[in-house]
Amino acid sequence: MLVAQGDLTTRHADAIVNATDPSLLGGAVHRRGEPAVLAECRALRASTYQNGLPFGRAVATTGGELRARWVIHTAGPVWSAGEDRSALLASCYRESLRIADGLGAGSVAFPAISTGAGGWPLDDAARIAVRAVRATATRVAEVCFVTFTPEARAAFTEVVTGDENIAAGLAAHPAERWRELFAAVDGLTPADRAVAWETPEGQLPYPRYTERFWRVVRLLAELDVVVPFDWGAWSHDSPLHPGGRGLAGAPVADAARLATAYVRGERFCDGTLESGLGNGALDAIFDRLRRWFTEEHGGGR
Amino acid sequence: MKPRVERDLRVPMRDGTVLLADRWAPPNGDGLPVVLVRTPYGRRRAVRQIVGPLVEGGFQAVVQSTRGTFGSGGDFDPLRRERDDGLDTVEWVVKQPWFGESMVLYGMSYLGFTQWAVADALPPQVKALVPGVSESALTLEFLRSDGFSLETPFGWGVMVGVQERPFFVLRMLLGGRRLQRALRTLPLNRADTAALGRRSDYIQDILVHDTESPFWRSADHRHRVAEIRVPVSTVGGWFDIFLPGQLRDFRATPHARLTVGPWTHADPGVMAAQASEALEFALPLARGEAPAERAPVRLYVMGEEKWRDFPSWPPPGYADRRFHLHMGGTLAADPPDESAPDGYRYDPADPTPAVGGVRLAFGVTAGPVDNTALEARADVLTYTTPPLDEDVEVVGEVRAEIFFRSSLPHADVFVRLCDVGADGRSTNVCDGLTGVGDADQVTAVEVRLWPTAYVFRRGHRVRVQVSSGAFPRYNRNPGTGEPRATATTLRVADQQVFHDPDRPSAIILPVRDAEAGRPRAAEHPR
Repeated sequence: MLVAQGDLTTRHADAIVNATDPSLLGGAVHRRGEPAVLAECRALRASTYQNGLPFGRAVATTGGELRARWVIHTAGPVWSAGEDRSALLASCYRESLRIADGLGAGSVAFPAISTGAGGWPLDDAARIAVRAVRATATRVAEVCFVTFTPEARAAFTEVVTGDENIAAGLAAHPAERWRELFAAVDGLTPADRAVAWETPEGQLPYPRYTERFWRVVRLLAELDVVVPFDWGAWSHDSPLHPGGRGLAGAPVADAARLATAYVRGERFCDGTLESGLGNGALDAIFDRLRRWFTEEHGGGR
Repeated sequence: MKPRVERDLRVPMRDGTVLLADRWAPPNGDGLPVVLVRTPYGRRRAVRQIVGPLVEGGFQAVVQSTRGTFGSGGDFDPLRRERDDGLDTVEWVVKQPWFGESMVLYGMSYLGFTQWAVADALPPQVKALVPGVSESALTLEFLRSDGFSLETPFGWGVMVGVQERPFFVLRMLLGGRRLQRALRTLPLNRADTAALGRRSDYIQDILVHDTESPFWRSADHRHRVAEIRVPVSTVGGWFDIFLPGQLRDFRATPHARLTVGPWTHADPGVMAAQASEALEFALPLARGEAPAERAPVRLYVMGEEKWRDFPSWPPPGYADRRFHLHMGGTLAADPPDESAPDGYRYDPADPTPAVGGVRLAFGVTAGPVDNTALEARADVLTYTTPPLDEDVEVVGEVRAEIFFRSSLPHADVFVRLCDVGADGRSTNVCDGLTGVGDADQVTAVEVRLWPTAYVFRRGHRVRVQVSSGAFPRYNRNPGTGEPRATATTLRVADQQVFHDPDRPSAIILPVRDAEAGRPRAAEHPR
């Protein structure tokens, strides 16, 4: 799950979602002007949706000359102070993913539905969107929220990189995968933890981690413990960085953030993971994940 | 006299975007015929070479940067925006106070494509088009679903991705090896990051959208060619990347003349021939005069190493002759007897390499080269005639029909025609590739080779290579049928080529009729 700001209509994705209204003639794709898409929408209005596309429903058309092969049109509800329409908004995301599944799309780009003309408060819209996508079983591998304004981007980033969504990402993996990780961690020998450095002539020294240790790192990535977020800024500000002290009492999402800072950090500075082995940060991460698994995730039962 | 250059003229488009143009004119050059050049490659580098001779010869020149390049507004969306922008620019030129009565469109490659994009809707002031080494559906041949040319469009995407950075030429020269390494990246949709350090919209587009995708509809101007009402002169090369499409366009153009030399895409000979077409063909037309008489088709016949005139393309007087593949690596006119197929193993992890031929990339040799090392590979079959007892003259379209089976359902068939000299050295003439689905059934695979004009000399031998790739000119076939952008698994394939009475594999060459042999002397008056 990614967040980006920019022009949804030029996004590289198998399908993009056009937040429209029941007339099927609104939204960013039609504003850009794509004749084949418009023609199909008109035809849909004349046939299947003579009374308009109901709020919360979705329908697909060709992508015409757009990068995306398909455009999925969904009618976003207008926000109301007096009535809770969040089920309809969640339905827009769920139905769009269902349609994408039927098309065989591997990647889908969403706008921040209902936050433009729909007037939906950004924080609330982002929370509903991320929860709905998270709760939908789908074969779509990549979901990106492409927002129009920097404010919407900030709101979606906050939710996508928030405690709840990170924990939900961890919980989405089956228990046996987690047991695989913990077994791999238990299998680390003192030799795996003592990192040797190569010093070839005429080249900067570099660390040589063992294959068993890399397996642990790979599993962290595969289990979504490594998450896309601004780990540079976070590690600068967070008291958990670098040693992981206090991680036991922090949300499990912080274990993921700290792990991200170390795993990603290694790409920029050789030896970052070695320091995490030395200062106890990696062990604190493993302990916190293990406790989350047995006590919060319920995988121990 | 030295031309004056007015820089950064602002040309407004219908959507409000402003494109920049430079005007090159001799002093008192107002009213001269205009040569309009629309280019994505900048208005400084190499532009003096392009327009210098034309301005000296009697034109004033307008060189415009296309949308999104070198100071022109908007986003660079390669190939897809040239129609409206081109029409708006032509209209703008006609309204300028320094415009006289006439204009011609000029340029090679992408600069030729910008001419085809507007060819059917030109105002009467436009008197001629001179699109060289180019075609009306530029690059779409590369993106065929049954044969993806990887190297050229990828390298082009990298080039336009860095062309506005400092030390561009140096970067490309030094980056040649990095680029070649990047072409081996799996999955390919990360190759742009390997070469450029970031994603490229264009490279992602060519990986995801093949020739038939509606995404490229606005880059396909094939249907305009027959509607063009002005004369066209088109210069091509036998080893040029765009030759098949260019010859297709020539056949569809109502008033056109054709010049094809022994050139690759970037050969200086192309630019020289273009310049003389501008001055000897387009300039008289712009002045309301008739150009000097010339045959409609002028071809450089390789092997004979001579320029010759023809009435049309493909020329009359040549008949298709089948040269059959036989057991034991021989090639002959008679059909084959019962024989077991030949086999070879194709490994996409060590793909059959592209050697010379039709290529365009920094630091890569194109054109005719020694094929000895390539033919020594275990994954390349060859079939060769005995030494010829008379000259065999081939001019026209070349194709092959190969009865083929793979151990995998997805495979490519690459066929190359070679000339083996008296010294035994094999030199490539032309080639082509076709991808096959259901390749695990015996299939008659039709391979269209590049057109050519070539005389196989007496004592030489004709050779046909059959293999399963020419990497990285063509992307390697992974054998899995996975989409090319995301394919990661490579499977080794065992290939078979049949040559028996029911499955007579052959190359079909347009060979000069014995009858037509006689007027030959008349074509070369002393």
